[in-house]
Amino acid sequence: MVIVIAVVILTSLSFILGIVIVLVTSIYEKKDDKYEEILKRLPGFNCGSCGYAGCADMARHILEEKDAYKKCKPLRGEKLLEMENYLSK
Amino acid sequence: MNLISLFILAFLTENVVLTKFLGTCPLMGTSNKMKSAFSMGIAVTVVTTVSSLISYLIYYYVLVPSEVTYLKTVTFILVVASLVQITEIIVKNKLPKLYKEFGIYLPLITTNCMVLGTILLGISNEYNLIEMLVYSFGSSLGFLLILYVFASIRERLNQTKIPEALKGYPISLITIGLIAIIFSRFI
Repeated sequence: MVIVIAVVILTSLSFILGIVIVLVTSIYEKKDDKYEEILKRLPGFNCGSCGYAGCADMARHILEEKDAYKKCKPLRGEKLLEMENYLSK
Repeated sequence: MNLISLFILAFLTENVVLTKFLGTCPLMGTSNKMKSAFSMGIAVTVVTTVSSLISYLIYYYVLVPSEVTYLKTVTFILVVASLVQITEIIVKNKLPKLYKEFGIYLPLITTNCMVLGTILLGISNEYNLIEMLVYSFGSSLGFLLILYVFASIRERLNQTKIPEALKGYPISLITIGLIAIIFSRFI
């Protein structure tokens, strides 16, 4: 019986603390809109021809340095214009 | 009067770092710059004080009535870890520069034995709520003081000529030892 009480107490405590952490995260965590927008405009092949570890890593580098998008090889035509338009904003 | 003497006891005479040797890892790790040492001390102070309050309430209103006080270590660690997580989220989003400076040492407050040690000592000394808060606040301020003093000494050490064999950690450990000898006079 004692072990059941211990398990219940520990579980409910972790549950409550988990909820508190999620609440605090949702209040303070900024949504990285720009990152998401750039990622959406990348081809999404994860080919790695740009030299980064996939499109997500590429998007992170574009946030720091705008010209990095030129390294993306599959990005051409309309998609390339779209990206240039977005970044020049 | 009792509370003031308790504060002095926790802050200076029974300083956690120098008489109980708790929390020496962050002491060595974050004392390279005075500024980061100060902010680390502030973070530890906040975490210790708040977690001692929550742990006290959980201990006396949940664990003692249901007679499972043997769970205290694991519950306190749980509380400390969650509070560190919350502090990390706040620092990451409000002070990103400071977050980079802290690096690995911010999540490592969880394993800073000074935080858990203060709470466990406060519980085993059977302090009441206000005494507990004063004790943990004093202890963590003591940690902050030593961290700051040590960081300032270390900045000075970086500019002096030190024998090759003692460079880096050896001279730092000797310095801590010397400060501890000064503090041992209080007892």
